[in-house]
Amino acid sequence: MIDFVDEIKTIQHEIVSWRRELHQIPETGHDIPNTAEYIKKQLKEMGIPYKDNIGGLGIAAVIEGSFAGKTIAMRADMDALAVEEKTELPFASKNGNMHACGHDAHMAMLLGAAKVLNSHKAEMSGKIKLIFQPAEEGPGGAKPMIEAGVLEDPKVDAAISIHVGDIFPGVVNTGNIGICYGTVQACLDRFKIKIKGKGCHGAMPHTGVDPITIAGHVINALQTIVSREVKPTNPAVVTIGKLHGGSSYNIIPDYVELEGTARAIDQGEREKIAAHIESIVAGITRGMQGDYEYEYIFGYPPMKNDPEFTKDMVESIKKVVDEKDIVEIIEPTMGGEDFAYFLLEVPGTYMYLGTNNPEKGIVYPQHNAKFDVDEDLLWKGGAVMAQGAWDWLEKNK
Amino acid sequence: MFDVAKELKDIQQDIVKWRRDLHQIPEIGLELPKTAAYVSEQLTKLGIEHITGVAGYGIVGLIKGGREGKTIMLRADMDALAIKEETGLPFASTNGNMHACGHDTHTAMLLGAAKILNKYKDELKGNVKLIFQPAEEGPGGAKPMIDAGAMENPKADACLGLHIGVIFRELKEGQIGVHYGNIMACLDSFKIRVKGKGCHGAMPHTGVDPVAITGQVISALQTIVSREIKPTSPAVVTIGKLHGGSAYNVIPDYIDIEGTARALDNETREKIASSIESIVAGITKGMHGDYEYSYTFGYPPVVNNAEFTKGFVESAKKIMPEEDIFEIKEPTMGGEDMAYYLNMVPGTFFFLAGGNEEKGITYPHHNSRFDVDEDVFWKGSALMVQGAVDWLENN
Repeated sequence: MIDFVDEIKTIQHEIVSWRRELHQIPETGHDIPNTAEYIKKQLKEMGIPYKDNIGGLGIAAVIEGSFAGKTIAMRADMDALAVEEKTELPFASKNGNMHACGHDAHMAMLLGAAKVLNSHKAEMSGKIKLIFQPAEEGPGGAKPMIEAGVLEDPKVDAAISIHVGDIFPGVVNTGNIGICYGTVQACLDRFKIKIKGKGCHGAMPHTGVDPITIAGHVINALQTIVSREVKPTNPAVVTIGKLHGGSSYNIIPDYVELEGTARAIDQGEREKIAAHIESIVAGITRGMQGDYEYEYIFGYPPMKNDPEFTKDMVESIKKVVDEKDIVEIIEPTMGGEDFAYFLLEVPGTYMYLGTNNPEKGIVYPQHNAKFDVDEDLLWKGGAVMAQGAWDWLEKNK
Repeated sequence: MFDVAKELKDIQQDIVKWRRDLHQIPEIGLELPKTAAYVSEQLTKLGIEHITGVAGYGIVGLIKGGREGKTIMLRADMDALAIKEETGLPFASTNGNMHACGHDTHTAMLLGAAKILNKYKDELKGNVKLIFQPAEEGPGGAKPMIDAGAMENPKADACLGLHIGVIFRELKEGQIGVHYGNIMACLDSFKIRVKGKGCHGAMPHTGVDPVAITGQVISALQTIVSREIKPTSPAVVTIGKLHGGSAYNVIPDYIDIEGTARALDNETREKIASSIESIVAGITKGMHGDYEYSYTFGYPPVVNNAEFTKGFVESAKKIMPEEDIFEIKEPTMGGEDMAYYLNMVPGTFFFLAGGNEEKGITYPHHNSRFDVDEDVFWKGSALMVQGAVDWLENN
C-alpha cells in the first residue's frame, strides 16, 4: 500500500516552491507562454512525456502504468487575472497580473501529485493524463483543448480536479475538502441586447421612439424571469452588468445597449432563460414601437459531478483527511468553471480545498488583490488527487 | 411719424449683406470675438453708442430719443452651432460651425432696426436699448448679461425679440406668429446617480444591483407626466443619457442618468423637480440602494405679456396684412433664454416665418442645410421698429 499522504508531505516544500515561482509569472487568458514553459520544464525534469500547444498553449502529459487499465485525467488551470497584486508577499507578482484565483496552487499541487504517481508507475494499472489548461477565467481553455483531442490518445475515461480558496465561504472551511454529488457550479452565459428606438429632440418625445424608456421596462421585466418563470427550487440568475446609451442629456438616442450574464444549474432551465429573455425583449420593444437585436452566448455549461464517481472519490479522500473534514456541498455556487466541459465528456468530480485561514490572516476572497492561500495545506490537494486517481484506476482495472 | 415699412424695405440690401457677412463667421457659445467685433463695427458706423464686453462678448447699444420717455429693449442672439454647413450657399460657412438656427439673421435684422431707429431718434419718446447676446444655444447669454447690468442704466421697461425660421410649421410664408402667454418651455436638466453595491454578477444577493433599481426609476419617472401633472399642462421628462457598468458579469456600484425636464409654467416645473427626487429616493431606498440628485433650473419658460402683445399686434398691423398675423395655439417644448428678459419686464417674443417651399427652404433648425428666405428680413426689422416706436409713444 502506498502512503500518498506521507509521500506528498515529503515533497510539500517543492509544491510550495513551484507555487511561489509560478506566482511570480502570472499570465492571463490564452497568452501564458512563460507559465507553459515552466510546467514543461518541471515535467521534463520528472521525466514525464507530454504534448504541448493543445488548443492553444495547453499541455497534456501521460504517466503510463506498467499494467493495462483505464485512463484518468487530472486537470489544473494555468491562467491568472489582470489584477494588480497587493498582498506584499515576498514572492508577490510585479507584472500587473496576479494569481488571485489560486491557479498557481492548482498547478503546483498537480505537479506534486504527478511526481509521486510517476515514482509508482511500475506498480500502476492504467494511465494518468495530466492536463494543464489555459484561460479558465475566460474565454475558456477546456473546450479548445477537448476539440484539439486532449481526451483522446490515450482515451480518457474519467476526470478529476480541485479548486483552492474560499469559493464556499462558511461551508468549506480551512483544510476541508468540499465535495458535491451533483451540479455544483452554474453555467456562465452572456447576452447582449440592443434596444432600438428612434432618436429625436428630448423636448419632443412624440416625434421619436425613446429607447431609454423601453430599456427601463425591459430591465424590470427581465427580473421576472427568475421570480416568475423559473421553478423556485431551480437556482438561476439574470444580471445586467452594463448599460449604455445616449450622448447628451437633452437628446433621445437611437438605441441603448445592455450586456448581462445568465446563470442556471439546470441545462433545461438555462435554455428556457435564453428564450425568455428574447421573448420579453421582443414583446416590450415592439409593443413600445421600437425594435431590438439580441445575442445569447452559451458559455461554460453547468458543472455536474458524477454521483457514483464522487462516492468512490470520498472513500479515497477519507484516506487523506479526517472524515469530519470532508464537507458535502448542498448549495451550488452560481459561479462558472470550464472543467464543466470535461465532465460533459466523462464521469468525474470537481472538489474544493479550503485554503483561507483566518488564524493566519488569509481571509480575502477569490479575485481580490490580497487573495492568498495557506500553503501548508497544499499537500492535501496533491494527496487527494493522487489517492483518488490511484484508487479509481485500481478499482476499474 | 415715418413710414417704417418703406424705410426698412429701402435698406433690405444692407440687412442681407450683414446677414451674409455674419453667416460666414459663425462662432459658438460664449466665445464670439469675431461676431461681436463685427456688430460693434457696424454700430460704430451707424453712430450708435454701445458698450462691448458685457458679460463676455455681449453688446448693449443705446439710442436716446429726442423726447423724454421710457426705455424698450430689442434683443438679438449672435451665437451659431457646431454643425458643418451643407447648404451649398455661395456665402456658406467653411469654419466647421454654422448659423443653423438663424441667429445671423436676428443680428442683421436688429442692426437694420437700429439703423432706422437711430435715423429717427429725435422723434422717439424715450430710448431704445439694443441687446446683442451670446450663447442662446447654451450655456446661456441672457442671464449673465442681465446679471452684468444690461437692463439697467437706463432701466429697460419692456422688451421685444423675435425668432426666424420654421419653429412653428403652421406659419405660412411671410406670416408672423404671436402668442399672449406661455409660448416656450423651460429648459432644465437633471442628474441622477443610482447607487447600489457592486458584486459578482452571479451572486446578486451579496450586493445591491443599481441596474435593476435604474429600470424601476426609468419606468416610474414616466408617471410624472402621465399621473402627476395636470393633463392640460404640457410637460416632458426625458432621460437622454444612461451609463453604468464595465463588464457584462459584474454588478456595478452605480448608474449615472442625465435628462431634461420641460414645462410651460414654473409651478409645473417645480413639481417635476421635486417629483423626480421623491421617486428616485423612494425607489432607491426601498430597494436598499441610495442616490445623488441634482436638478438644474435652466432657462425658465418664455412667458409673453398679454397686454404688451396686444399692443404689439396693433403695431404689426401697420406693417403687414392682418391675416398674416397668426396666433400660435400650441406652445413648443423647446427653450429660449429670451425668457429671462421677459421675467424682468413685460414684452413679447414673436416668430417670423423663414421657410419657403417654392424656394426649397424647408430644412428644420439645427440641420446642416437650414436656410431662411432673406426676403422677409425687412419685415422682421420693421416689426421691431414699429413695435418699439408705438410702445414708447403709448407709454
